[in-house]
Formats: sequence, structure tokens, C-alpha cells
Amino acid sequence: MADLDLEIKNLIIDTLGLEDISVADIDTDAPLFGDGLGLDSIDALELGVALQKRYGLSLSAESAETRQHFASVASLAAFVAAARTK
Amino acid sequence: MSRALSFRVAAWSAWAPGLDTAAAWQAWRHEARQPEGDDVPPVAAMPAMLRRRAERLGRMALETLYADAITYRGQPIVYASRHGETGRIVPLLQQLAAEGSVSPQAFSMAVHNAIPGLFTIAQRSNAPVTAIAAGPETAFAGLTEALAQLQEGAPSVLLCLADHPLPAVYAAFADAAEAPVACVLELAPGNDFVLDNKGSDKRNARALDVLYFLLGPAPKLGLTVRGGWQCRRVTDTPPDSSDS
Repeated sequence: MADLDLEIKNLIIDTLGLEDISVADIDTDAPLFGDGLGLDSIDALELGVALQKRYGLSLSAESAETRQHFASVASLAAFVAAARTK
Repeated sequence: MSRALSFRVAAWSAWAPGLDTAAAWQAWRHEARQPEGDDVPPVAAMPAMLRRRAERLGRMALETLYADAITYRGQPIVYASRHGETGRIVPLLQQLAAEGSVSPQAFSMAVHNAIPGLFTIAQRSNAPVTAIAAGPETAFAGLTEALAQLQEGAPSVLLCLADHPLPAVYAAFADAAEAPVACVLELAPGNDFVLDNKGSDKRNARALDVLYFLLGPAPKLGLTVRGGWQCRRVTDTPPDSSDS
């Protein structure tokens, strides 16, 4: 799981063009949006597209579950581990 | 009295590769060489979480909006770019053709008003932004839009002109020499310059032509081929007609 956490942190940094941020700066359990890392709704869409491509996930933009999956790196890793098709 | 088509330039800033200070632009005025190169300005004044959204053309424009010479107080912005974010649009279209989907972030930043929008988000300003593309008459269209907003009562308007050369895939459509350049002219009511359509020097002025005219002593600048619009420097301005 730690490997997947790291992989997702790298995916976030690369996909969203986060300047001056390294994997060490992203707390696995901190919120990704709003107060934590400070990502916004465009980032959420971008990250969703990247996760779908990378892991063959299917995501619904409207569902409350999706919102929970995107809460933190830890929740994303748990979701990817359970739902990945590649 | 302020005529509808007269103005003064209260402040200005400009950026092109190798030309990032007012002194460098003054020196350029004497050489009048075409700026070239792929340099990207740092836009150090913008928070990194917003700056990451801007690519080369946008960073050029943002560098001039954030320049020390320009004090942003919520003035309306007129953003005029002939080609817009071609550096994003071409890869987006290629991605759409190849994969059937595009990056939401790249798409959102490819729209014509994205860069001044990003600037006003960073400034927490809800001041109006107007984005213009008017082919070879883009600089003229931006100028007349800004003057119209002055006439409607804006104390000053930031006119931002930004373009860089077309990507190779569109090179066959380039009908004029193009250089990477962005500038901001803060236009205010005044009588230092006036527009009329009596010009004989018919040309479509680009941002560089506007800067060259602004920095030098030339009495007039042709703005459009169609209609013969020109900008004249008013030399008989009484000393008390401008507060700059």
C-alpha cells in the first residue's frame, strides 16, 4: 500500500503541475482539496481523468462515493487498490 | 475636455525574450530588432498554485500584468491576443483526435479569457475582463475597446496585448512577421494621443509597433489597413492637461 501511496503522490504532482512540491510534502492522510494540499475543482477533474487512464477505473463525477475516494491520498489508494482493472 | 478617441498612457510594462526592463526596451527602441527565442518569464509575483496553470503565452502576459510599473487597483482589463493560447490548442486538438478526450485543465486554460481570468482570481478582483481576437487588427480592436470603456467612465483601463508566433503546423497561415511579446498599457483620459481615420500610412499595427511608437518621438502610427485608422501624438498639449 505504501508503494501505491507513493505512486499516487507522484501522479498528483506530475498531472497537476505542482511546482516546488515533492512527495514528502504531501501528507498521506491530509485533505487534498481546500485546506490541505489546496487543490480545486479543475484539479479534481484532471486527477479523475489521469486515474481512469492509469488504473482503468470508472468514476462517476456526481456520486458522493467519488467525493469520499478523493478525500486524501490514503482514500484514493484504497479505492484504486479495490477498483483497478490495470 | 476629453474627446472620445483621445487618451494618455498612465503606465506601461512589456516583456519579450531578452527585454524585461524599461531600460532594455528603451535600448530596443534604437535597434528595433525583432525579439526572438523561447524564454519564459518567471511570474514570481503570482502564487505558485495559480501560476502552474499558465503556459508560455499566459506567463508572458502575466509578467506584464504583475510588473512593478503597473499598480493593480481593480481596473478593467482588455486582453487582446490575435492567436491566443496556440501552444495549448494544438496539443489539445491532437489529443482529441488521437484519444477522444482532453485534459480538463488544459481545456479550461485554452479559452481566450483564461489568462486575465487567472490574474483576477489571484487578485481576488471581480473587475470586468474583456478578451478580444480581431485578426490582424487585434491591437486596434483592443485599443478602441479600452477607449470605449474609458468613455463609459472607467478611471483607467489596462490594455494587455500578448502574442507569440504560430506553431509550425499553422505556419502556412502566418500573414505577418510575428514575435513573442506581451505588454500592458494603462490608458487613462487625457490628450497625449488621439485616434483618427485620416491615415495614409496604412498598416495593421502589432504590439511591437505600438511599443515602438510609444517609446519614440514619431508623430503618428498607422493602426489599420482598412479604414486608415491611425494614432497621433498630440504635441501641443498644454502642460496642465495631464496629471502624469
